[in-house]
This record gives sequence, C-alpha cells and structure tokens, in this order.
Amino acid sequence: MCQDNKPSLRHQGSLLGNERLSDSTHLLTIKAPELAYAARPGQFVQIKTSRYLRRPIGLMSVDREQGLIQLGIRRVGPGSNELCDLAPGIAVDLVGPLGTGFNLGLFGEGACETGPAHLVTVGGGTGLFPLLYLLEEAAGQGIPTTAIAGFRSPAEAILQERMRATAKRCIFASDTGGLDFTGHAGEALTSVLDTWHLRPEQILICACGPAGLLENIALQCLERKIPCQVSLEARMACGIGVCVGCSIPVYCHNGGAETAESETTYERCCYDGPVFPAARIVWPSRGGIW
Amino acid sequence: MNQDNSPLTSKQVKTEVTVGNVQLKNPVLAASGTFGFGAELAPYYDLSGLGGICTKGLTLQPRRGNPPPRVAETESGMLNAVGLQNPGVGVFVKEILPTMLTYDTAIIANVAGNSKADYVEMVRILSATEITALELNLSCPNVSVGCMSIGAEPEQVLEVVASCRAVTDKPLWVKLTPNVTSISAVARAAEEAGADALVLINTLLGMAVDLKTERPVLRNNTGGLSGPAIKPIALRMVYEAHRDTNLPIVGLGGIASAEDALEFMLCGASAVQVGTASLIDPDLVFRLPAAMAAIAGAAGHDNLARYTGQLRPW
Repeated sequence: MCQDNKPSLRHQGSLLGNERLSDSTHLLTIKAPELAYAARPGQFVQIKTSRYLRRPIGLMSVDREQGLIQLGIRRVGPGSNELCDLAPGIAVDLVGPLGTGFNLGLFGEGACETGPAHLVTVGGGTGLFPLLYLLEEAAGQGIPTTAIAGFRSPAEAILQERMRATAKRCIFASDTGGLDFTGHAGEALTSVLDTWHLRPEQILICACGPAGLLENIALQCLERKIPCQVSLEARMACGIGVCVGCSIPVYCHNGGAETAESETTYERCCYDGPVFPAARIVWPSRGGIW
Repeated sequence: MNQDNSPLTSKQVKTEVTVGNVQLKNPVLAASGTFGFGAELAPYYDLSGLGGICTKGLTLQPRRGNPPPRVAETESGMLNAVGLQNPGVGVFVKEILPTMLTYDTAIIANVAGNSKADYVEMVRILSATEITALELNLSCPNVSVGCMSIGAEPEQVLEVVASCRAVTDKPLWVKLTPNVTSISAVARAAEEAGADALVLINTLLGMAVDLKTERPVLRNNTGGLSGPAIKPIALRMVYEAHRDTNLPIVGLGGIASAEDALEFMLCGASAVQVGTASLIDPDLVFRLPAAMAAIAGAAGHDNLARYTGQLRPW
C-alpha cells in the first residue's frame, strides 16, 4: 500500500526459489524489488504465514539490481515449517525491511589513518544468515573480512561455499570436530584473537547466533576493548516498533558490572535493534533477561 | 440511505462520525498500545487518513514496563504483558505531542494511573494541551495496582471518573475492562460520573504455558488476550453497554476487517479502534475507512454513521 510517494512498508513478493540447505534449513529467494532496494545488512522482514503473528526472518542476501532477497529459515515450529515448505511461484506477504542493522559506518573508527580495518563475523546456527549479507556488503566496500562460523556437526555445516567466496578468510568450527576448528565459534574467535596482529580499534566484530554464544563473544570483546555489534532475537509481535513487546535490557549509559537497575532500560529488539553495540546489553551474567 | 436505495461508490459515502461532541473524519482509530505515538509509521503512511490515534498508555512518571518475555502467540490472537512502558506524561507533552499534533487527525491521550490522584493529575496536565480527548485507561490487566483493579469495581470507576470530570472540559472517554461479571454495571458507573464516551473492550486476562520449561510463557505469568479470539465477547459487551447506557461507544476487540468494524457499529459503536490487527497488517487501519464505505455504498447507504446501533436483536 503506497501512499503519497512514501516508501512501502508492506510488500507482495513472489517466491522464485526454495532450496533445501540441510535437513532443517531452507533458503528462499523472493522477488521484492522495493524491499531489496531499501534493505541494509542486519535488517529483517516479517512474513505472513497461516499462524496469527508474522514470523521475523533476517535478510541473508540482497541483490538490488535483480530486486531479489534471500532468507534462510530453520524449522523450529509450525510457522517456520510452513515457510520451508512453500512452493515457488506463490505470493509472499512481507513487511520490511525492518529494524536497525549492522553499522559499518562505525567500522574501524579512528583506525583509518593507522591501517586497514578488518571485519570479523562470528555466528552459529541461523545467525549465519544475516552475517552472510554483512560479509557481502563489506566485500563490496573493499573491507577485508574473516568469517567464523560454528556448527554442531559437519553435517550441519551450511553455506560454506558462499562464505568462502565472500570472506577473505573463513574458519569453520564444529563441536564434534571434522572442520577447521574443534569447539564452538566463541572458542574459535578466542584462538584467532590470541594471534591477531591488528590493534583492537582496527577490528570490528559482528556476531549473530544463540544468546549464550553472543554473550561469550561480547564479553571477550569487552575484555579486549574490541568494538562489537550483536544481532539479538526476542519474542516479537509487531516487528515495527509499535507494541513494545520485544524488549531487550540495555544500559542507559556505558554500563558496567556495578550498574544499578535504575540505570538500565528496555529497548525494542525490532526497532532499536536487532543489532546493538555489545557493550550496551545487560547480558544474563549481569542479570539481564529477555 | 439514498432515495432509490441504489448502490453508491465508496466516495459517495459520508465517512464522518461523531463520538459525543468529538467529530472524527472517519470511524477508524488506532488503538492504544498498538500504534506507539505514530512516529514509527509516519514515514510510510499518511496519518491524516485516520479517524484518530490513541496514544500508548501514559503514566505520571516514566515506566520501564515488565521484564520480558512480554508477548505470546495464541490461537487467533496473542497475549501481552508490556506493563505500560512509556516515557511519562511530562515527556509526552513536551517532546512527543507537538509532532503528533501535526498529523491532522484526532489525538486521544490514553492515561493509566496507580491511583485516583494519578489520573486526576494527568488529566489536569493534558487538559492544558491541544489533544482532542482523554481516554482513561481503567483496564490494563498487566500492572499490579491501578488500572484494571479500579475498572473492575463500579464504585471506584465512579469515583475516579467523577474526580477527573471535575478538573477537565476535554471529552472524557473511559476505556473499560471485560474482566467483569457485568459490563453494564461499570458502564453505568462511568456514565453517572460524567464520562463523555465509553471505550470497550480492553484485553481479557489470560495465560500461555510452555510445556518444555513448565513455566508460563510470559514473565508476568498472565497477560492480556487480544485479537480475533476476543471479538465475540467484545461485540456482546458493546451491545450490552449500548443497551444499558446513553453514552456513545468506541468499540474494539479483534477488529481485522471492514465487516468486523461495521458489526461493532451495528452493536452500538459510533467509532471503532483497530489494535492487534495493526501489528500484523500495518496497512489495515488506513484501508478500513474506504473499505467500510464500499460496503455501505454497495448496500445503498450514503453514510457510515447510520450503522450505529442498528442491530435488530431477536
């Protein structure tokens, strides 16, 4: 519904492809030119299913010229099952692009004069999808990148070829071994940072994945004073910032372990996020709940 | 009805309605708590197409709201326990309202208090502004004091509404809770106290359970149920309040189509609010006025106001 030259929020997309990536994940390719044109890495769309609420899905890749978006979807319940089973050719009811995405503008702040900045993405599970979009964007801007991706097992190691084609360096980690690194993605990040030759301010770390992994990454970055952005998930209703349902506890200011509750507040995952500076989040180890 | 009862186009149908002495350009308002203060949707939609906007519930002091999770999907609806997170009435008046007043639509300030004194103070503050009307939220189920605990008791409704009436000439709408045995009893109390209109219904108290964790889904344990699941209850309550009071009614509860909206008007509503449906279909509230006019026109009616209270009960 387009009004008075205002951008559209709701889009009727057309499903061009549905590719099975693994037993539990699918890749949807959707034609939605206006949405594709407006999208930024880290943003998401809300898709209509037969369930009552829309399902928020992070953008995995965008081709502005072709007017295409790609969405990676994991089967976790009735809504996502329905999306994984969609047949190409049908219309898809989308709202988006939504949310505040990754900010490459903050990238390497103060580092430009001293050397090349470097983007490290760290993710696991469905968290890899939005990071792929970020890697593609960074590659387009000529920013060197390292992609660290964690999987439960080699059988679930999706998207390896695409990440290899996009990132300068890739490290695939598996809890059960059989890939580049044995352990989770946070441990792989530690091993990389321990031998890193760049100064902290020359690096930007962007992470997406399970909350426990994100906290692990965030605390490492805080300790090493490396700028870090995390993409969070929360139970969401509207996705457009109006219902205030998907709250994330954040520090009003710079935070710290001794910060009182009165110095924290809730921000909307869907509108103020889903990407937040890691230092702003009240992580579970400091009492945050979401 | 036009003279020969022949079909009319939607553009030939007059959409203006009145709620007491408040004139609205059409009967469709955005419900409190489902539209923020309009800023999130203003980049995408012309807000002047709305009959009005009801603000997020305002409290005297800023409120952080309840800990998450705050929302849960249910069959044909959802539960919320946001807990009135808002910047407080002072920040609203100073920093938010000036922008809202540029939207060229009715602005209804929804106020929620812990006590009678809270309501009176907020009404006093907001009466000095350019808002169109006040909506006393006597019905939020997600806070431990005030709101629903006041709105469920006719004596307390009478006292709070009368106290607010005494300090304002602004149109005073009273939003009622459905979590009562008799909606008519609380509706009559609001009428007796001098309310200008009734708004009903707010959400129904409900619960969702996670079988894996053996805990409630919502951190607040309980929450307010909204969406199509509650529409039949809302229609019945609008019907009863219309039957048992002389106040104009703004109806809401599960409205998701033009047909739904006109059904509420038949039951007695002069205007309607769209709430949870806006979370799923942000276009809906902007499409509804014309869609309602199309239905009215096809039936040969030249205005929407004629629907109010035209239900013919058996």
